[in-house]
Amino acid sequence: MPLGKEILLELVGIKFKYPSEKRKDKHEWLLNVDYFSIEKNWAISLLGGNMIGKSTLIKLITGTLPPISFNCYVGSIKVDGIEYKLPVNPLKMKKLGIVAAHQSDQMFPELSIWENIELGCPYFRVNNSLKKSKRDIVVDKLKKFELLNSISIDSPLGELSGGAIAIIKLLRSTIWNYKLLILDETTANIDNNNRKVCFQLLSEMLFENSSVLLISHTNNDHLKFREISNDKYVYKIFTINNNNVIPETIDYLANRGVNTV
Amino acid sequence: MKNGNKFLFLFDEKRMLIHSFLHSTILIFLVFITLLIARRYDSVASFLKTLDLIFKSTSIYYPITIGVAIVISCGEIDLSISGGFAFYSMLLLFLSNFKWDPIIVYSIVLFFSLLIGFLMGFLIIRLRVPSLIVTLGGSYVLYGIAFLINFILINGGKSFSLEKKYLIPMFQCSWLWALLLIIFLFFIKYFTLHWNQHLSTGIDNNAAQLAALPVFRVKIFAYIMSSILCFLSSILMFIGFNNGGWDIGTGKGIELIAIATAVIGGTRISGGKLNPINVGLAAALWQSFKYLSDINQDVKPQTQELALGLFLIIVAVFSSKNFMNK
Repeated sequence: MPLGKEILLELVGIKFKYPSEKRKDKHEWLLNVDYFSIEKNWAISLLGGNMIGKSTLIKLITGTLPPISFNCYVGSIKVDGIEYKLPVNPLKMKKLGIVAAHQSDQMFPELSIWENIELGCPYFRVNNSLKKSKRDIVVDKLKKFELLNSISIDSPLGELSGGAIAIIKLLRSTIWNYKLLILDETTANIDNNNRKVCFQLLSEMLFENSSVLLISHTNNDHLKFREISNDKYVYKIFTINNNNVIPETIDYLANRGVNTV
Repeated sequence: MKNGNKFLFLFDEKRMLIHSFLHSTILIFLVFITLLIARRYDSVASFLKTLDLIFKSTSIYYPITIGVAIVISCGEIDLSISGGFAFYSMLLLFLSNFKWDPIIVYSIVLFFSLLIGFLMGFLIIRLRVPSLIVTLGGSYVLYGIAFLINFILINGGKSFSLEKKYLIPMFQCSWLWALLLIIFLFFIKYFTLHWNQHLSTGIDNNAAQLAALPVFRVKIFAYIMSSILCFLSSILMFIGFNNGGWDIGTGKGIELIAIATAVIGGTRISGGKLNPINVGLAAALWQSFKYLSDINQDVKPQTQELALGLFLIIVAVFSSKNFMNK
């Protein structure tokens, strides 16, 4: 472990397999990460093909995997030097500022836009002044991106398009003071205009001493991410290879065939 | 944006409120109509007296109904309440024979209700056993224990009615508990994030899990609440209505009536929707049906079931999404 760096999150000896994989070979792990750390002020692109465990890794970090046998987990996660054994408590991770916006649906169309955003808060109660200040920020952002032209923040979320819902999802993850924001293909399946808005919003919500991890199958997303995070963060690329998280050089994206946004 | 019409969005914002208000009005109207059909009233005072009777009996059943509604609205089911209803009062009766201090006796029964709620919730959420099976099994187990206590009391020649010192006046005031319950639920709704976390879990359990919502806490809380409210209803019935006398058959089949009442009160059976006021009004409607069939000789007792069933189907059809979309 490098000295003198401010480590935000560490994965120590993490092994994971789904219960169904147990029957094939009990030593076959979907993920087998010896050590992986994320420092403060890092912008990380995590790359890799389908079915290699990117989303599973994120769910392990955030504790959002459905309850499965304890035999499927080994290892621990350290947040700010404090160790948490797997499986971690999702609410605890949220309180520690480890938040994720997944590609798959995690929004509630019958609740209002504000209620959906409020669900990102890790606490049982929010005091009125904090609530008001956060609500004002949300209204400002949504007005800026012209999402509140014909509706109010208290309208049902289901009235918005898929692209607009992705923006709300991003806003929910960023508004409650995150430390590590994980974007797991959040911008997948949305049009270019909404994608642009998402990255613009993200660029406004990058805070000091925090880090952002982006998973996307689109090279342009990673290049745009590198561009917006350039001022505040150190850009890093990692891939999942042989069940482990491997660092890559900065030329990795260019080698994949795309080098401009 | 899916729809650019401003009027439609305004309509959407207010729609839920109007829908809920309309629902309440219809339920109140039906309660009044049922009571007016039930018998001829000599004066306004006599009508108000009947209304008071309905209100008292509703407030006894309200906790158990809202308990079931809480569980349903987070996407699960609770069939254990009829067993619980028999068990908690039987346990109280059994413990009272030891002549312990009332506070100790009530605390033990309350602890059991808490434990039973927690255990059922744990089996359903952590071990992923279907809630229908766990709560059905729980109901039979609780009934079984209640019958066992009944047997012990009969063979031991013990008393089947509570001593005076156990008839705590607080439990004779059922309306006070109903009021406190409503205040508690409104506090949770307007001053905490738990209410929306609860409804979100009912709307989509997987999405709630992925959004790192406290799904375990929400569901455990729902089962513990249901169990404690079942204890409360049972005690209110035992002390307030039966005046310390208990029959083991009391409350048999109450779980189905509670589910039907919760749904008539606007609780969506698949989860995600709960209105405590309308659930109370639906419980009042059920009590007025009971009153009608009890007091009016021309109306057969089966009529209350028939009316409840019809209302249940009508409400289910009206509240179904497909109907609203059409």
